[in-house]
Amino acid sequence: MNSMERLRAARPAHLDTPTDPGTRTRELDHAFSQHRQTASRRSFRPVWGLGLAGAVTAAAVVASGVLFDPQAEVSTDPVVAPTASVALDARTVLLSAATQAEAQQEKTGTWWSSTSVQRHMSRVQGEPSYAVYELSETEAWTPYAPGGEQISRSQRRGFEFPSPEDEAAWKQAGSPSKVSVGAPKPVKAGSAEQASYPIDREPGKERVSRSRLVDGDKVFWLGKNVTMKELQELPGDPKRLKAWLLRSYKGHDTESSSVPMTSEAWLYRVTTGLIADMPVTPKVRGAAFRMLAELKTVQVVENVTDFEGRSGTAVTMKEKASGAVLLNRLVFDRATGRALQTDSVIVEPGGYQRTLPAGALWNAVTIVSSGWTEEAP
Amino acid sequence: MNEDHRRFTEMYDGCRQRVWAYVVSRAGRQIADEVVSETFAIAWRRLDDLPEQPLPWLIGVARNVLRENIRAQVRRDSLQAELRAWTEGDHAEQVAERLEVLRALASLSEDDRELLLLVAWQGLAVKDAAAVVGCGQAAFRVRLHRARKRLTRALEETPARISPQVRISPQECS
Repeated sequence: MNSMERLRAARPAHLDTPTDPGTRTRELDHAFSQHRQTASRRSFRPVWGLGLAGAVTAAAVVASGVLFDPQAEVSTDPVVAPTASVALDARTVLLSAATQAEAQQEKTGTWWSSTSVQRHMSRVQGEPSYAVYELSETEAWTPYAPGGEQISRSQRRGFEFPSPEDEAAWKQAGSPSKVSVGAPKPVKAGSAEQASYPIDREPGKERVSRSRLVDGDKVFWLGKNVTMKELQELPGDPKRLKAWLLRSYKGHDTESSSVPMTSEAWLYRVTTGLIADMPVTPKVRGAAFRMLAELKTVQVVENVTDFEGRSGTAVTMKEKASGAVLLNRLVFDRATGRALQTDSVIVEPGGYQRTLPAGALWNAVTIVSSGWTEEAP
Repeated sequence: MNEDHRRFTEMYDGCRQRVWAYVVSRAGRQIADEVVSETFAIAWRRLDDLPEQPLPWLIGVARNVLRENIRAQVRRDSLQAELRAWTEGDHAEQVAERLEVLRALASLSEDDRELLLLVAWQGLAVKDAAAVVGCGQAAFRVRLHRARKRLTRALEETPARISPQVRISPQECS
């Protein structure tokens, strides 16, 4: 026998196991619950084609969470069926956001400024154990002109509680004004390898930092360090934008060159960063949404409320990270295509998140405001 | 159920088992159902893009789902568990021969293994297998030829009689 024949003969018989009926039903149901792409494109495009006024109407329809009846897809009209079970597919939602983002008016100013609040969930050691959000707030100013300084003002804002149960446990522990949180390393449960540090309930001192731009002109990281000019001149066409970004993709994670990362996951991370943080033209923000719409593994979650109480839509991608499965999200306002929050939900605890429960929103950056301004900090 | 649902169900019944077999051979049973389910969800979303002969297209989608959604380490672990399962319950001689082949297979790179299995286990024609991995037929033939040579070499390096349990699954050795 030659090697290929031996290989053929070694084929395990169970590879021919027929599909069991339960699995068949589940998988067909799952498939049919998906919104057909071409059908939705056909039925939805004409609405945008009406121009700005029409686009606003479309956005109003989308924002009200209208659902489509999958059975109605044979028709070319979007059938508004409140009793239908299938939400709009990710692509449709993202393309709608792209249209809205492109329609925004934006004039550059002297500074690109943003204010954001960061929340990070940690478990407090001791009995009873509970979780807290460690809060901090950052204001950052980036100059339009090269040669200047990036200025940031940041402040620790103490801690708050993810749930009433956590708050009750804190009270039971005597409402300490200082708690010690563990920062588990991604090792197996039961390991003693934990670093802990204290956090205060009271806000900390405001800290201002000024730093000269990297190389005199680099302002943000977008797969590589980029200048304000490069950001402003990014291609407004989704295909060209994708190609531009992918030139910096080297097959690994944005944070570590030893961790492999697929181009799709990499693009998601870099592109959501672009939408959330960076001074790009409305056209480019729109192109970024169009690019996300073409990613195969993104999903959309509707009716998400951010930490500022604003309602939005999230475009999400799952990530397997050091033993945990996380759902990374970019929450945005569908009516403007502006980012509200980037965050991460624990799907399966493990690794760094092993002491936190599944379903917990363990990390979030809420964008309170961002835009161009003439006012110096 | 309309015409599209019927067409899709027919396609599902015709192809599901073979798509599953592909995923199992790449990444083991532990994660196969999840990947297959997602593959057919995508197929439904893209029903209008589906070619006349959908199997290679479906395997191509499954391949992407595997690559994009499942971390390499998880794939490897699941496949290791699969390799162990493949040899359980066999008769002694079968175990020896099959383990020899599977061990040789396991020693190859993921790319080599994929080409070989698409042809030897999935029974795809070169044209279809080339489409799955996204290269031209000529290039595929060259890569397959090299993979075969490496398999042959790995088989030669595998001792004729090995102590299979020790090799594959130390923790199951009594």
